[in-house]
Amino acid sequence: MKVTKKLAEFLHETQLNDLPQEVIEKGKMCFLDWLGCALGGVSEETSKVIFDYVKEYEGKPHASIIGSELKADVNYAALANGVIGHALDYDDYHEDTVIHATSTCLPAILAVAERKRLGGLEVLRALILGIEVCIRLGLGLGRYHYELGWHSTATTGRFAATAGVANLLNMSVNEIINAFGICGTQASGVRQVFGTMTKPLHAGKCAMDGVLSALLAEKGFTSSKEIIEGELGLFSVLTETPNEGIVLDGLGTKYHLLDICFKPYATCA
Amino acid sequence: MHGTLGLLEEIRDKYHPEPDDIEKIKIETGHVAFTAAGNKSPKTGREIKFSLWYLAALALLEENVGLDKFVDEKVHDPRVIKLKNKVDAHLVDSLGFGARVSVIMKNGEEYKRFRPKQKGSPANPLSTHELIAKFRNAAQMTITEENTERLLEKIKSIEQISDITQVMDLLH
Repeated sequence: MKVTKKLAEFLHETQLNDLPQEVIEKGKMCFLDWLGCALGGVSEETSKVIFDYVKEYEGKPHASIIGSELKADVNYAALANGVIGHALDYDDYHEDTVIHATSTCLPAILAVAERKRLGGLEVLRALILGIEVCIRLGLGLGRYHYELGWHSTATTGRFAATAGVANLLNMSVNEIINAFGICGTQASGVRQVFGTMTKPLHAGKCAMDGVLSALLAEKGFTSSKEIIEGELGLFSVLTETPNEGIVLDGLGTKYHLLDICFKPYATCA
Repeated sequence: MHGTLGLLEEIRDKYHPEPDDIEKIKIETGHVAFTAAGNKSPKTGREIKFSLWYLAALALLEENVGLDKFVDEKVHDPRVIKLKNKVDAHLVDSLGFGARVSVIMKNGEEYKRFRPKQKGSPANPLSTHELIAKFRNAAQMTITEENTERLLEKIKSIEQISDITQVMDLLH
């Protein structure tokens, strides 16, 4: 069914004015809610460790770290802000897949957008499309994936970040396919770490790997063209009940982003 | 857990059940709450977020299950421990994130609540007002009230922002 290619085409072709107004408004709510969660998470012990780590190994000062005067290179900024944004477990989620999509892709998009001095329109479009691709993959992996012990936020979140950055930078279909290949082979994260600092690390690592995957592909780095549906791809390895049809069903007309939930309590699930 | 907590808070606010007079707290909820919040014996404050039993006790004991409740002190609080031991939780797969709760008192009285969809879901959404209040409370843990309001305005019309650094500069 060429799932990987069709998702890449969707990302390459979709513009903000192709999106229904209610989707755009929901995307803004995701943006706002995540910023609040991140600003609230700054004083968490998890965030302090990440600040220390970035401060010591920061790299070029290209992108802001939330809650700090510190700037880091885009990879570390995505990592740190991803961790900070999920530190409280207060951020949005998609009920059927239990995925925290915004937390994995917005930090990646913001880091690259800041580095390249891009505008809010591009950021919002990238956020909405990153979330959409991520949830669709989560639906395709099915509930069995989560029950087996995979943290769906971590496995699919890398695609959210990769898709978001790829769309932000208007990458070609071929570049996006390669970016998916690079990110897909890094997809990991298990639920054994719930309740520890390593759960929010999943969101940060998704953002960081998304930046790496998209920017490497933009430079011409190559990968599998069928990372999702290939014989040894994610749908073979990470689940026993893959559903390719649901990934593509209504792509471009139906937006699963509308099903995202906002948390009234900073608790898991 | 959001389904369960909302219902227990409603019972707390309406009936004010005295913790010592509670016989049992019966909770039915779906699969995710049982696996993601399935930690029966949290060792740290952070792990309380993942413990249906502790969260249920906190919802009845405290004014709110806010960020300040996920601290080590609560793990060892005798009031919390006593009440969380009264929680009788059952997995009912069909409930999803929804919940059915019942607080049974020693005198036989029973306070029941059921809601198929948890607060914050599209079927039972946080209002714009509630979402903005959540944002303000969380944001002001790190930035000034003035910058919080400026940030709110920027996100409302984010398409008009020509350079995202205008947003990033407000985040510290």
